Amino acid sequence: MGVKVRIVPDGRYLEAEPGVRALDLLKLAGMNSESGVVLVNGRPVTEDYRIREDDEVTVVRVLSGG
Amino acid sequence: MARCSVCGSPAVAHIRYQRRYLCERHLIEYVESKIRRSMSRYKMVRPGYRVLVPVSGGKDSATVLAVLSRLSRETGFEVIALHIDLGIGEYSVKSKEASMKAAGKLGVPLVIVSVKEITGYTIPELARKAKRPVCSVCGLVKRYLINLVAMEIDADAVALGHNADDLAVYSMKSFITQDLSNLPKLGPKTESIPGLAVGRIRPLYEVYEKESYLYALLTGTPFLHEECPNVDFNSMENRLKVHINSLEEEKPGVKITMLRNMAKRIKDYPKPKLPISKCKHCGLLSSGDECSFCRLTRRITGRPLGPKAREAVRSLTSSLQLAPRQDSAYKS
Repeated sequence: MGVKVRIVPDGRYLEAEPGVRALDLLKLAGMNSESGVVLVNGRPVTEDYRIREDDEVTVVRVLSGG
Repeated sequence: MARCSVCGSPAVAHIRYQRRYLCERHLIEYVESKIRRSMSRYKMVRPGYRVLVPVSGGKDSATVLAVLSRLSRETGFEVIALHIDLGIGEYSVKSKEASMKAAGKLGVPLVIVSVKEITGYTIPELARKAKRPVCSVCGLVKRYLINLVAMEIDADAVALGHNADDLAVYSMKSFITQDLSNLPKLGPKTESIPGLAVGRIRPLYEVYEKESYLYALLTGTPFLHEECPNVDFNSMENRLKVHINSLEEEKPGVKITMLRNMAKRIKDYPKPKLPISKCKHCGLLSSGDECSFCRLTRRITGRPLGPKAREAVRSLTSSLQLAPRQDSAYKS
């Protein structure tokens, strides 16, 4: 079963397979390691983290508009 | 999972330009030490200073407020927060709440100024009446009110939340449009003009946007992670942000290198050509005999509202418990 990934602040959702790296999630959401952060259960993780099935995952776009 | 390069705990961030992984505790320390270094490198504050921190409710100003409220106890300067209620629907309601929570948690006195109460109109209404883009009216009104509050409380500096990403983008835009006299305004510090304007400091000059977000998140400083409904993602600034960060990913450190070198070269760029004068209505900084806020409000309401704004701000700030001023020896 896929893991539901919330994208903030856009409000969109993605679905990802367990085992996918955080960096891949950033790319899937159209970001890179500078412009986004992946949170697992509310805590930031590094780009090499691999998503697990029961993780609550959020991809945060940290660049704000100006 | 990656481990902290300092202590071996699980890492929360990879600082690529330093080739280091950091855990929660060491990331917080790292951002604070970076801000402390910038503040001393660029001589941003001195003991006895009164610093006004405008807070939007977003992450960057939350980070500035959190770090400055901590450093103020170490260095012995005073911090006052300011929130401007722009009247942009639900977004402004939430922004105000976030600002109040952050100032409350940090124990920093907060002044709230409402654009609607002062002018009779919200920012979107003012923009419609003036037939001007909402972001340009918003910028004008915010700059005016920030300076006005800073002048009224006799602040020595205004601490803005611009981070390294913002400043790299504004600088690139000034290069592209060859608006070179704008560059000196984007440095880590601008000087006060006695009687007219309070100088600005940018404590996040070398702090990346991602680091600012992580700092606010990990220190539990309340902030609103939401975009203004008027933001245009296709603007030159926002497109440049995407490109500069692609470059940063390939060449880690490029943003910091650019900003550090710019800070050294600021004196070589042309000075802004507009003359410095005093507005005949409100007495604050102007490039002609009428400042842009008084002109805007005069065109919309029939009378310049600078003097009314000054009165309103004076009464709002009169109840602040400000630290007694020793003398003007601190002022440069």
